[in-house]
Amino acid sequence: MAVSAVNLQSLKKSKDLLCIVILALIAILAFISRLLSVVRFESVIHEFDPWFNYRATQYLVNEGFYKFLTWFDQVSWYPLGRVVGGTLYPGIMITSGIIYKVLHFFNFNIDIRHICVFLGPVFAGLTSIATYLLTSEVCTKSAGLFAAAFVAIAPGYISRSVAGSYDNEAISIFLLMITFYFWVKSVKTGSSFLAACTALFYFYMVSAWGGYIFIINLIPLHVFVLLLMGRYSKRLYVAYSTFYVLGTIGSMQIPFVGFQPATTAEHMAALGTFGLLQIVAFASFCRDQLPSESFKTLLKRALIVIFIIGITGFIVLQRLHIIDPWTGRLYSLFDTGYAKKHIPIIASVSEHQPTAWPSFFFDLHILVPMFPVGVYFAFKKLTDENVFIILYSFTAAYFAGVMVRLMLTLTPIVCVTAGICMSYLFDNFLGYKKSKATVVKVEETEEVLSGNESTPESPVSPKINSPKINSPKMTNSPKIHNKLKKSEHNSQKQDNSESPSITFEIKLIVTLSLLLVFCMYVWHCTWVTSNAYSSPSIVLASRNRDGSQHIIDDFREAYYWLRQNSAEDAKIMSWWDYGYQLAGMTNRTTLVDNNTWNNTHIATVGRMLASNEENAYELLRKHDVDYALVMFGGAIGYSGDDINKFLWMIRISENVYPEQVKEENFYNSRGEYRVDDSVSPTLRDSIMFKMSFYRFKDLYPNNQAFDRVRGTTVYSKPIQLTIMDEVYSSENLLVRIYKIKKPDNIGRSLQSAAVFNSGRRRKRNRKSRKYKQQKIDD
Amino acid sequence: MKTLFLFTLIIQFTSFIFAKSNSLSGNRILVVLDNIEDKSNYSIFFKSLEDRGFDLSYSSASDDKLELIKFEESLYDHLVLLAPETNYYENDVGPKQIIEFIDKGGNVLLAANENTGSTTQDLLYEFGSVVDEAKFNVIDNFVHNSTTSSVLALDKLEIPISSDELEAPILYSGTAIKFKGKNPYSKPLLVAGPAAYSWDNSAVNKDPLVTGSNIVLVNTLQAVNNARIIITGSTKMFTDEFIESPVKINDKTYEKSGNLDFITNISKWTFQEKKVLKVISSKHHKVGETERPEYYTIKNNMHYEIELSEYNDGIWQPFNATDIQLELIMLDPYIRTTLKQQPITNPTSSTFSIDLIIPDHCGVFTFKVDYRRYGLSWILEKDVIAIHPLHYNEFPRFLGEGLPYYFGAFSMLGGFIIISILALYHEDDTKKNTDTVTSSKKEKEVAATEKKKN
Amino acid sequence: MKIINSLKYFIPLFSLFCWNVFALSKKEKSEKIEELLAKSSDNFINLNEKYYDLLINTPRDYHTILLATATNPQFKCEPCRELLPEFLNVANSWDPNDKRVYFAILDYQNGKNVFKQLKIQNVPNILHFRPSDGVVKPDFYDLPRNGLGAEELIQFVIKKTGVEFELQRPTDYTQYIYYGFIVVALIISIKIVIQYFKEIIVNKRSWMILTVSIIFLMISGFMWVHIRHPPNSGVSHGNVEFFISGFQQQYAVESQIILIIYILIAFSFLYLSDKVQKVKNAHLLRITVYVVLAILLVCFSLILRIFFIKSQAYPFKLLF
Repeated sequence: MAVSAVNLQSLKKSKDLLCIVILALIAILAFISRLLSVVRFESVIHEFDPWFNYRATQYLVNEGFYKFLTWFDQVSWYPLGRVVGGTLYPGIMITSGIIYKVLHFFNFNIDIRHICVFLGPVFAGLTSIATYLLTSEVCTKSAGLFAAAFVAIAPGYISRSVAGSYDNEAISIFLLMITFYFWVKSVKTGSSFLAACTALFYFYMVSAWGGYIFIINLIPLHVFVLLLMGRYSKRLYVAYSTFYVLGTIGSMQIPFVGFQPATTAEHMAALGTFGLLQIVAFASFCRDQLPSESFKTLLKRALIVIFIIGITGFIVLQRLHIIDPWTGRLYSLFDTGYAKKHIPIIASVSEHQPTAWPSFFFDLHILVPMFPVGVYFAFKKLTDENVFIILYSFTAAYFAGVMVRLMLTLTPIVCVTAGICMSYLFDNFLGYKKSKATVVKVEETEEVLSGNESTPESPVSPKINSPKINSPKMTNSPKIHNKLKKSEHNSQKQDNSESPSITFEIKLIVTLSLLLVFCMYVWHCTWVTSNAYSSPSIVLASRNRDGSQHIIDDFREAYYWLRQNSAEDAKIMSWWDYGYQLAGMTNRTTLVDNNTWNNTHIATVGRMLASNEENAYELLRKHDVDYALVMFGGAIGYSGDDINKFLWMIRISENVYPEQVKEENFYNSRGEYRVDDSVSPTLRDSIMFKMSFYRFKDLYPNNQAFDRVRGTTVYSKPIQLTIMDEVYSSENLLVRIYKIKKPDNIGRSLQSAAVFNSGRRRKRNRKSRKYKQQKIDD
Repeated sequence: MKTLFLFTLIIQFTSFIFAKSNSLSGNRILVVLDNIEDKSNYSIFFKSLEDRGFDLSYSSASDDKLELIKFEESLYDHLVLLAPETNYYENDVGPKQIIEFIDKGGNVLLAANENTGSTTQDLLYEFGSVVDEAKFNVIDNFVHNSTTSSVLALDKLEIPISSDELEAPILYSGTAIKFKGKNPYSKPLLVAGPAAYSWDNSAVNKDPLVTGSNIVLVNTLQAVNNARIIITGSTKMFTDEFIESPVKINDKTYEKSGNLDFITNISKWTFQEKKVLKVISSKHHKVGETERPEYYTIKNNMHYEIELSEYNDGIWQPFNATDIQLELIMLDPYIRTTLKQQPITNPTSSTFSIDLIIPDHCGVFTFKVDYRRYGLSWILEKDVIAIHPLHYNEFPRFLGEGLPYYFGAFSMLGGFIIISILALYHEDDTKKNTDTVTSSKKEKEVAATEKKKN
Repeated sequence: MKIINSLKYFIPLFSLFCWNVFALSKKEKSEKIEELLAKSSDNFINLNEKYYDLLINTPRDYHTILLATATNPQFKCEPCRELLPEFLNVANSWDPNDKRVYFAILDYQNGKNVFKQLKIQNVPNILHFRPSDGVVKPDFYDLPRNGLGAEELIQFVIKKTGVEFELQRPTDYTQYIYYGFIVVALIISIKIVIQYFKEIIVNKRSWMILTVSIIFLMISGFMWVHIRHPPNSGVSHGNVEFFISGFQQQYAVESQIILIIYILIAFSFLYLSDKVQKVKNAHLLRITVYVVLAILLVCFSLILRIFFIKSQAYPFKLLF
């Protein structure tokens, strides 16, 4: 032993060095693999929400933090305006703002846009590091490296963090992992400093993404389960108390969150667990003090009673509306049919749909089947941190099943568990260095043991069985079941005897085949990234017959047209999907946008689009609308256009205006939603339909007009638009912009004025005269 | 003497050359007649116009040099259409072009008669009124000139657009105009008496289009761009014959009809010589400031004032009113209040102002003065400005109600510090010390350790 | 809604046969209605064609809510059977002595011609006749969108008639007893379980099986199936197809197949990473490892193949 000590030290050093190098490479890889969109197209902000974040960041950088904090945005949600400061998560803007300031302090004059574009990839690199830390905390370093490598290129995460998708999720996955890392570590060591770090990053997370709810429920769940397993310890107590108090105070500093931690149901679990923990702590303390059996049983009863009282009290308070009930989005997670019935605006968003299995495979590929195996290992050695891993896997799996969007939170934990699985596997099949490596580990652990009272359990350490290790463990955490330890013992014994019997050629073959599998994984990830996730949906690409790429840039074309040709204070009406882009690119006033905070206003816009010309004109005048903008994909087959979204608009506005808008009127007599000659009259008169198909058939000779999205011929009679003029249609007719007419100068209705201008003479008072004659006759 | 005469002559001559009408929108008038000879019938009327400084150019509807708009520019400022009977004008000067002329700000005085041509009918239809069929006359057996019943003599205006009353009745002979009532900007000026009806002697079996005081004789219309339009059913009104002829209405006789007076009034109104309003300035600011702020904050005190001036016969004078209203609108009006007229300081204008408190609701508001009164030109003054909520540093700090909380917080802080000091600096073996440090944020724990120690 | 296509064949040509057959005076009419009302145990009138005309096609000052249904088993109209009690709930919550609204039920085999008259193509259907003199066009209650619930129905009735009234469901105390019993049983069972099956509860293996199996269900898309209720398997020109192409939908059977494949792969990983250590015999070890590897690769390439079916653009494949 003493002999090998020296080269063990050197070995240890080189091992760490290697580890660091690999990790750095992984981080760089994570960064690079997300640049495809920039390479393909250009360094541009992607789809919808990022445009607002980008705009907000610009505001922050130009106007300073305090003005940003109380920013009243009068350009959006006209005429209501939006109190932006109070209705957004400022984390991502502040992050890039700080980066911007720092760089400029060092005279790197980088445009804020580039920072915004590349923020996602940078944080992806950090995420892989955080994942490494977390995994190596619950398992070995090698597992950590595997996990980092997986998460670096996992499509499920790339989808939200490619260059240009400047969205909250881009940074918050990193925050998620780092928070969990610190949490696990603080539970392990019981240091209140680490717990404070957890709280700090939790605060950062709260400022960055609404998904912080996941943390603030998962961690208490972890604590609660540990308590149920009878694993209460001072470490747990310190960690959670520190985390909860600091974290809550921190989270209350975000204006958008405000007092929710004290009032809303989502946060009550954390509060309850906190209280419970105090009681348990007190109980265990008393137990240490007075060792009478009867008193202990009394305590146990008391605990149960208090627990039940707490639950009932919570329910009562919620009934009395002292505690706000769950928000619709969250509620729809548990009652899966809820959203569709009550909140169409949530159900209308495609990423709130449940997840079919292809999505799982598409986003995680081979990691999917590894996932349960990793969980199995977590169960096999049931330490506190593994309990956490299990809970995380379980909840994340459920949520991802319910909502496609939450695939995002599932991805990291899948990578972690897969990493664990792989590390075990390769411990078996690349086991040359194993003995030495583990010896190193043993020594580490010994060093740790001497100082700290808790044991960081590494999966390899028990393999060479040293009573030195097990004995302190027993003394420290006596509540681990004897079974567990027994199983470990005998498994360890077998390992010693059997491990050499895996011959070289087996190792070779297994390794090669697994390498093959991983190559497939890498190919898959690259393919997915390049084909699915790195197209900025604001610029569309299509392939010509010769395979060359054809860029469809209608959106920006149209937005720039507006920017150039409309008045500074023009008000533009469109469906809310395009609000952020309009505000970001045209710098004009919009009525509604993707921050759907006011359902009524959105419903009003829906009602405008759904109603016929006269009614629409009143509403448009009331809202001072100057331009109306619709997306029409019929010409090039862009399926995400407004006619396809129209039914959702109708549903949303029917929720608010059940009298004025009725969904069934938009289906024709056979109950179908058609745009050809069998179109329902209500739909035909709605300005949405008119704006979409206005003069569409003039593109085609002799009435051959064909809608390539709906796959039908279009309504064959000419469409009259009297309340607005077509001012612009983009190259592929994808975006159509109309200017709302002013009321007629000499007080005619716009319809009659239009008829007059079209030159057709109208029959005059004869009608009234005839009518009178009839009355005279009979 | 002679020189003096010469001098005055020159004066008159120059004044004639440089004659300038009182019209605000220029003094080029185009008179369109059915055929150019009719000109002599209206000599008095035209003379009066020329005396008021307009330069008239005459054209017959069938004249191929007839032009109204050239190169997007209207060649005249006012239009007198005394050519009802022509069906189609030359050079497609039709309803379309005339309405375009109006949209460009031109004023129109239009007269129909018993057999109105299609052009005029179309035009009238666009103005929201309809003339009766050909050969239909307005007849009133009670209020008519003694000689013939088909010549009405009316002595009261429906809604006077000019303050002054008629001293002699107006002679009217022509077709009936039915006001469809759809057009919000149009108002009848002169209507027939209750016993009037529209009648065609030749075709007896038809019943009249309109009867009684539904018969509109003279109709006014003021477009959104304040272009003014007069519609009347009788060309004869303007003829010298009617102007000159004496009136005998139930045993009261006037040696001269009131037509000229009336025509002068309405033509003055039509050609923007009177009853023209304009906004000289409008401004709003916080009380105690002078500049328009970038935005208001809820519950600010603000001051709004608007300066108006009225034009009558060549002079700008203060406009007096008590019914000018200011609206603060966000979808719906949040505040609608009447502006108070300030004592007149400026001889040409008058100021209306008010102090008010901004509504307690943030949003983008429109401050709007929308003043439409019959006869006066329309005033629309609007300004869009945002009303912000309180900013982070504008909330009141240290409320009285909050005292218990402050006390609680600070006492908690103090207690925490004291107890941690106690916990840290009292004699104990190291083991427990670490314990208390790690879990020192709960006094309970600490107290416990102390208890344990004793 | 079960569409009765056969309807049009059944109906005899003399469809508008019964119009104002017998014109009763107002008084006897109301008596007649009362009598009809009295005939049924609940607060509704069981109509046939002539009663229909009596109730509807005559001058009247009351609203009528008509349930057009087909209880005859030959139609196998499941919704009809579900809707009936709900409808009766609404009807019974209306005060029978209040003459402003009448509830009526018209069964198909009693009123074929009426069905033809009203152009009712599918059952069940709920119609509202507003008070008028003679025939009125009824307005239909939108069953497909509002569902069969009594709450929505009563909202409809209130909206149409403008008369506020509460929905009174017959309160059955058996339910409460039932729940109480459940709760007690639960508590007792929990106690028993804690006493006797302590091992199983405390045993982490059971928990592991639970968790892992649920995770398996989730990742193989059972939640989607649970929410969307897709068909079990489809038929494409003649032969049964198990995999529907397209990314966002799937058959129910797909999830099961995928589940099995995943389990196999997971098992092989598990074997290689954990169980392999327990194998004592070297030959056995070699063979098992090869077998397991074979399983792994086959299943994996199978998944790839299936995924290719789902999205045709997918370029990668292994083995086959």
